[in-house]
Amino acid sequence: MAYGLNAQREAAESIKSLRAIWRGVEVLVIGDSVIGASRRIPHDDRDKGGRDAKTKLGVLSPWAQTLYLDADTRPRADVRVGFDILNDGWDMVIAPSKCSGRNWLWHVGGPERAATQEELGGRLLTLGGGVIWWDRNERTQALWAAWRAEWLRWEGQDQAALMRAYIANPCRIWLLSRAWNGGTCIEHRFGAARAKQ
Amino acid sequence: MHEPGEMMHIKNKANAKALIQDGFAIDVAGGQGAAPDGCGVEIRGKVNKPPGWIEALDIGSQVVKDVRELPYGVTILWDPRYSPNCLQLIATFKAMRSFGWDLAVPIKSYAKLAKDMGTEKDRALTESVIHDLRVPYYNTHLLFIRRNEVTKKLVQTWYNEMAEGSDECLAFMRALYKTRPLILPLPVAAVKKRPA
Repeated sequence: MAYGLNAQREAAESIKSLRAIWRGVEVLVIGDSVIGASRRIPHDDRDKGGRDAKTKLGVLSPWAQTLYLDADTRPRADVRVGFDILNDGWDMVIAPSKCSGRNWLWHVGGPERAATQEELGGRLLTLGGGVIWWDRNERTQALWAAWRAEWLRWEGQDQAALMRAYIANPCRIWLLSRAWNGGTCIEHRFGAARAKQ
Repeated sequence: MHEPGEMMHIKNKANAKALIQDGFAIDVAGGQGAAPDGCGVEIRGKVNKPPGWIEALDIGSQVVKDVRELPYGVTILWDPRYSPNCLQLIATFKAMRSFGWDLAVPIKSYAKLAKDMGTEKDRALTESVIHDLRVPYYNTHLLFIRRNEVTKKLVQTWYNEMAEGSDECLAFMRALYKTRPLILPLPVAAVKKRPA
């Protein structure tokens, strides 16, 4: 997902990191053109953070199995392990978010955070939506559709929407550690792709 | 200092009522009917009597005879050395009751991973099954298990993996990976070791 110069630069660096590990991998970018991408889907920039397009990935991805990476990520370990896990029959591979415990959904707007807690009955596990492997099947398609619908309620950050969606749409979720989203395996320069105000 | 959702036993009823009235606490008994139908607790260890939270939720309990038995529609397999977090308990019940999760289990730690557990041999065996040990492992001291064919296979596989002398948590990871239930991962805070 790349909208604007910062995101284009970040995405190009992300692709470079990815190709250093996995040379021939095909990379699709949604939004603006990015150096190194194999394919592009132009998509109107309705949301500054690209979340309008991101929450449509269940429909936009052309592949049966996909790894989604935020533009500001830098893969440092072999990401093919996620596909090995999908091939063993898991639906989704993802890591817990750091926005948990006392920091539970701290970056989400107050009304949405309160509604999420109220609807779920408590503070359940937040997942990081910046790095996701998934297999296209009826369970994950339902989850993507729900994520989209939940995001449209506030059109803000996407993490609380993902949480409400995954709790209500059981999938076979295999968890990786946070090293895979903001750690040694996949570095995440949170916010670096954002357009300057 | 108490964490949100931590359970407290307050002997003085007046003090307990005051805490509830002032909005600092909730009465777990208010959670009656919160548990999924047919829910009960299998206790893995010695207790003199079922703790207050089991009585307050008005659910059955029994001491584990064999971990492979799932005596309830939703069995809470619980080690009494650990306390469930009340708010997490109620949220987990809601998710289990409303949606089709087979299983809900807290993560043991966000920092200590499967690569940090067990013997070298045990880790190698686990890696050969799950591909990568840079994964969180689960806290098997509190499991919510819906009884069905997938979870029966899971606990049987877990039992078999443990029988070979494996670390309980790594054995659970291998069993989980092989049987692929619909698992709802819970936050670390869902359960806490009780002070000795």
